[in-house]
Amino acid sequence: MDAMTCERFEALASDWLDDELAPETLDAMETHRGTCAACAALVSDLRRIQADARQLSPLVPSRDLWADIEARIEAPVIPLAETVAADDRSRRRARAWQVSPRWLAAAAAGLVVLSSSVTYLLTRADAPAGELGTWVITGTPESPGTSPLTTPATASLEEAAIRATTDREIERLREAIARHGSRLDSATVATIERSLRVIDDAIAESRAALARDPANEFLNEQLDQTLQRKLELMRALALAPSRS
Amino acid sequence: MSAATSRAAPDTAPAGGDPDVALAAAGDRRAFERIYRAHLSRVFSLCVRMCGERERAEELTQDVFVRAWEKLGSFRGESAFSTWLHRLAVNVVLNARKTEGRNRTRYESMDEEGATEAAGTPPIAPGEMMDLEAAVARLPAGARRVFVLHDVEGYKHEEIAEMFGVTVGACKAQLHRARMLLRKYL
Repeated sequence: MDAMTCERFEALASDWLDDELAPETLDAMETHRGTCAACAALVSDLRRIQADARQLSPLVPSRDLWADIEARIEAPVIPLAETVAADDRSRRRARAWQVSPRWLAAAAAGLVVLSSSVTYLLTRADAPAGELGTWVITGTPESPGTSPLTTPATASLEEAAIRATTDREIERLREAIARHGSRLDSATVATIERSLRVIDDAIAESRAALARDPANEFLNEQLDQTLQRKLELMRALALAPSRS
Repeated sequence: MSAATSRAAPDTAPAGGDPDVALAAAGDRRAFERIYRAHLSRVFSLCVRMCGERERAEELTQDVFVRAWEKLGSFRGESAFSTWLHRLAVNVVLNARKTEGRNRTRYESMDEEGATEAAGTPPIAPGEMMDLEAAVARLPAGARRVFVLHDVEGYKHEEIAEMFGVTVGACKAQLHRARMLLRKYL
């Protein structure tokens, strides 16, 4: 029979509770428990904890979560990696007349999903920055044809829809920034807003040029780069309060 | 109607006897709301006990149901829906911790070897009594998750070890540590 000490008894106590001991070890522990009040109390306490754990009461959240869940499941989910990969493939394969609208749509989609994630973060308390694995477009445009870029020559309805959603997401991001902006240093806000105005002008010029020449790859690249700059600035501005 | 609500019905209707599951899998949000209300408490309880924070648990609970909505089409009724949903919830919580852990030194699944309490918990006053719920919340994260999965939720060591990507021995060690700490707290 194994020599049993209190230290060994304690080390094996959980295995005993879970019926995972060899018979001879179990015998040694039973014998030890009969002569050691401390180890008997240990087993008794652990058994009680184990039993209580099985009967813990159900918990309920402090509020109904359905409205938030429903809002999220109404929106289609676009994994960012898929968007980027699809765009890479299309860039490699497409001829110039195919590249322009697809590239434009992908750039817009990228802006949409990233902006949306920022909007989502801003509406979540203490959301960790590392959780941006899923990107959500909140809603679909009701009137895709209202986008300033939407003409038969420049885009399909789907691409126009993405752009309309982009515009709306940017607007939501602006609203979020407006809500949080008062906590920022005013000089910083003014500087970023000046930069945004310059970028907006550049975007408008690129879009106007693309409306006349939708197959122009240089214009598409230029628009994408400008959109990315705007995105980075807006993200910096929107996330600044949560960093402080 | 959004794209999500017009989702095509799955090839095979999910089994398990709950018509709401099949309806929800076909895009019926009202049916999914009924599923949410039926399973909310169990999912939220798991999230709270696994992560140790009620506010974070509410976010994770939302994530669980959003993920469930997205994956309902893949539920084939090979297990009970509640089992499928519960396992999904465990994965969401563990994946969230992995994602958050990327900004830390190391994923804390089997972490905090020297820690005896969850970070940020106030000290126990002399003579203070604590209920089991509060004591579980006080456990270090790794020990707490193993305790919740094994002693509260009934998972086996082999299943937990697979979820965490650790050995069964490491899992047992965490459980023992959790029980001994709980005894000390209580």
